[in-house]
This record gives sequence, structure tokens and C-alpha cells, in this order.
Amino acid sequence: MKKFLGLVIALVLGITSVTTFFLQTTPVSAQSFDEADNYFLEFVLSDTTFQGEIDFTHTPLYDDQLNVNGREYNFTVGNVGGYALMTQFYGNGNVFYEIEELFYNKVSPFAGCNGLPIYITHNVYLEYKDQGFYNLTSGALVDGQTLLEYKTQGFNYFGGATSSFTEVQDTVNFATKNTDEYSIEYDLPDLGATSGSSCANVAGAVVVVYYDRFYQNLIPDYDPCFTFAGLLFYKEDATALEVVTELSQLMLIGEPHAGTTFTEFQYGMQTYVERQGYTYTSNSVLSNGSLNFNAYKNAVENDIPVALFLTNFAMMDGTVADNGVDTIYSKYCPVSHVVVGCGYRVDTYYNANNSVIQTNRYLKVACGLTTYGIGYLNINSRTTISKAISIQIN
Amino acid sequence: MQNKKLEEILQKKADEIEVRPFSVVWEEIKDQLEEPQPQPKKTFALKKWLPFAMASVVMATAIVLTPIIIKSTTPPPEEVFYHDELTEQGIATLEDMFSSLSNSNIVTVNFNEYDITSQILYVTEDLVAKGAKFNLTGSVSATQFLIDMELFDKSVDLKLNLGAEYDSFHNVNSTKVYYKNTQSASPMYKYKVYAKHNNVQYMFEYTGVGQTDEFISFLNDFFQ
Repeated sequence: MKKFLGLVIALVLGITSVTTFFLQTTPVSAQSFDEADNYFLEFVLSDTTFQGEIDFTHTPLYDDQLNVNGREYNFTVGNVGGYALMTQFYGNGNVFYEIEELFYNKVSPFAGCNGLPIYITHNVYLEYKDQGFYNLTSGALVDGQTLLEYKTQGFNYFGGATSSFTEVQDTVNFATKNTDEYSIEYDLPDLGATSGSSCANVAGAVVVVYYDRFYQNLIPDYDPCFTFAGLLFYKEDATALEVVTELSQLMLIGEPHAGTTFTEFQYGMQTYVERQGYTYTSNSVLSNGSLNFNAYKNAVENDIPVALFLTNFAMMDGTVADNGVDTIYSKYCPVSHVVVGCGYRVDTYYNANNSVIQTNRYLKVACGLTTYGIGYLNINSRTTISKAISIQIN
Repeated sequence: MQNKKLEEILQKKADEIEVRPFSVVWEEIKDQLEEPQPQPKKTFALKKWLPFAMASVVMATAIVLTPIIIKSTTPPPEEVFYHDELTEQGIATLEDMFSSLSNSNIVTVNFNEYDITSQILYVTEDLVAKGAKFNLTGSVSATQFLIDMELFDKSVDLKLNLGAEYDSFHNVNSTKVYYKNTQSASPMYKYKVYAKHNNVQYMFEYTGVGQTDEFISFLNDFFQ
């Protein structure tokens, strides 16, 4: 990631020699870009497939103590407009930046804000005015308890659990159906949380234990698999759980808090892998703010797992076919979670004329939740993927 | 003039009226009058109200005491845990695992016939065992099998949608075993299974390797 980041920043700073160039509203020169701007530009570059000049402005975002905690970027790439919300936080003596959301052809949720824009957790947009916090979406005054809940959740990934699941159903009428499936051979380890750890730590351990198959010193003196009838299975034992616990410590930057941010995940993974003498590389598989399914597919078909950072999600329980109607049963969770993708399932539905009427995609993931183990993430509705990175260790 | 004459006539008639003394009149009428009845005294009739009062007290006492009595005589509802409120805990030996399960009154089927590897416990915040996860291998007829097993105490809510996740069931005595065939091609057969047997929930994936499918035979042996 660092190499990639350096490459992108170099690209950004040297961009005047290329047809594409960047403009900040005032002033214009590339030298005036600060660290946050560079991070923003790197993110857009890695995300967009749109072509053309990038033009952007930014305004500050605030936390519940009315301190600046990030920026709202409004930008255009060529003829396409969009916005991004960036947060910043401090830890280990450094300042870290995160793009929490980025959308094209969409107006910022803070566009109608007349007071101070308050951004303290995913998908919640507040305004401070008249000595009160108001929800910009509903217009309602936010009480202290709710504000505290938002603050506790922060931009950390945690809390995705069956206690907050609700059952949801979708139906598809069809004449014929075709299912295409793929998974990394032998899937991924099916690990769960240890005491004090969270889903991001589990996801990191899933990746580490998986790669320990190929790079034995990732977990010294440990064979993560056993064979049965010529097949390979993951052990899922005490040693694998120790990796979960260790990553939960390495991924904590700054003050103790529940869950793990995306930056902390990256920091902990890189620290662990480099300490063991290997290289950690990650690449986004998002394009234009959404999952690039082809990029995801390409990664898993090359045996590269993909960490998926979700602000809400639905896991598929199963589909029941009855007389030309598929009922898809899922459970929806409104809370954030991190899973690791290792495969996919694509259901293509056709009508009587053999024309495609609907395509449903599911990502096969190590869910970190006992009920699902290795299950299917329903990305057709109700799942918001805020970040997705393919991870390579070598 | 005419009026004066009228007055004289009236006076003459009036003089002719005899006014009898009151005492004489009273003597004539006193027997026709009833004596005034004494009014009943307005006093609180305790005897009349006592049964009603006692009934009210008994009823109020019953209302107050019934929930208390019920609460004290029936066991408290068992706390429900969602499986992902439990954390995974590495455990060194099989003996430790079954000892921890036994201490939590989780009595499992007999695993003596199988080889078990890579065991972990599911524990509460208070480190009370609520389940376990392990692999086991064995064979039935010519079919070798591997099972990725999870078992839980009945108090663990697995939030399963049995109808959607499983499409078949098989009864072994009084145990209803839900299952779904996920791969069915020799030499490999895979099933996902859920069953509640003697207050323990079993959720596992069965991988059978052989020329024939002995899955049902395995279920009959396992849950006998």
C-alpha cells in the first residue's frame, strides 16, 4: 500500500506533464496541496474510471465537540461531479486520513447545512445550530444519548451481530435460471472473535492464516491446515485465535475504543506482515464509489482474498425455488462489519424469451459470525460496501 | 252607597260564624294524626361491610403476592445468548474441552468413536462455556467422513432460518435432523446439518468421501 501510495502521490505531484492535471479552487498550484489533499487525490485516482481534469474544493467537517475532524470535498472529474467525506484522526504521533464515503453524480448530504456540519459516524449527517445538533436527513433534534451512540460507533467497524439481524425476503419471477459459482480452493479459514477483539481483527487473521499456507513464517512453527482424503481443511484452533488477539492489539492506534477503523486495519496488517519478513500490499476493488465486481472476481480467481468493509449488510440464508419464483431469504444488519471475500455466486434469471431479466450477485465470504461461517453476502440490496481491498502477502 | 250595604251584609254573615276554641278542635282531630316515626340512626354497620372488606383484602393480597409466589416458585428464565456474543477461546486438550462443557451442563453425544482435532470453546464474557467447535473424522461402511462441528447449549440463539437454510429432514428417534445436500457427486458428498438433541444444538458440515453415500447411516449412528 505504501508503495502504491507513494507512486500515486508522485503521479499527482508530477501531473502537470500529463494531460490530466489537478486544480484546487484557490490557489491553483500543486505545491499548495496539503497532505489531506494528496490523500484525497490518491483515493480518487485509485477509484475513478472517469477521464479528465480533477477540480476540487473543500470545507471543514466537525466533531461533537465542534473541533475540525475532517473535510468535505466537492469535485469534478472531467464532466462528472461528486463529493467525498474525509476524516482525520491522530495516533502513534501521526495524523491519519480516511475517505469515509465518495460518490459521483450525487450532491453531498451536507449541501443543505446552514450551521456547522457535524460528521461523527458513517451515514449520519448532523448540523449544529442554535446550540443543538440536528439530523440533516430528518430535520430532527438529536438527543444526547443518540449523539453518544453515534460517537461511540465512530468510524470504527464493529457491532455487526445476529442480535441486530432482521429477516428480509426478495422474490424473482423467471422462466429459467443459471448459476455461476467460484471460490478460492478450500475457501478461507472460518475464524471468530476472541475476547476483546472485533470483526476487523478476525478478518485480518483470516487473511494471515490463509497466506500462512504459502508463507510458513507468517505464523511461526504452525501448519494452518490438515488433509483428509486428499482434501485440505483449515484447523481453526488456539494458534489461529492467537493471531486474532495479536492483530487486535496491533490494529489499535491511539486511545482505546471499540472496533477498528480502516486505517487501523491497514496499519496492523502491515505491521504484522512486515515484522514476519514479508510484504503487505492492498489494492482497492471499488470503482466510482461502488464495488467493481469484475475487479473483485479477478482477485479471487487469482487466489487473492478481498477484505470488505461494510457499513450495513445482509447475509443470504438461502433461496427457495417454487414454480418459477425464487424467494431469496437474507438477514439484514444495520451495523458495520468486516468480512473477507473468497468467491462469488451469480444467479442470472431469464424470461420465456431467454432474455436476461435480473442478475443477482452474492460474494462468498468468511463472515466471522458462527451462523454463517463461510457464507454469502447479499450485495444486491441492503449492503453498503464502503471499502474493498484485495490483499496480497509475499 | 251600594258598597256600604254590601259591607253590612258581609259583616252580618261573619258575625254568624262560630269560632270554636283550638283545644276543642285538637281534641277532635288528635286521634286522626299519626305519631311521628323516629329516624334511623346513621351509624357505620361494621357487620354488614365486614365480609366485603375481608374479600377485598384477600383479593388485594392475592394480586400482590401471586406474581411474587410465581416468581419464587418457578425457575428464572434462562438467559439467551446470541452466538456471536460468545467469544472463541483456544483450549489445549480434548479433556479440557469436555470438562468445560460438562461444567456448563452441556451433555453431548458420545464422541468416543471419532477422532477429534483442533478444538476451541465458545465462552461468555464470564468465561462460561456455551459451546465448542472442532473437527472430527470417522467412517461408516466404506465412507470416510470429516465433520466441521459446532455445538451449543440450548440457551444460544443461532437465529437460524431452518426453512431457507435446510431443505430436508430425517428423524432419529425423537430428534429431527435438518439437512441440505450441498455437494453430491462421488467420491465426495457434502451436507450441512442442524439438530437439537437432548438440549444441545449441533450444527455441522459433513464431508463424506467414498463410492457410496452413507450420510443417513451416519446420522442414525450419531444421534442414536
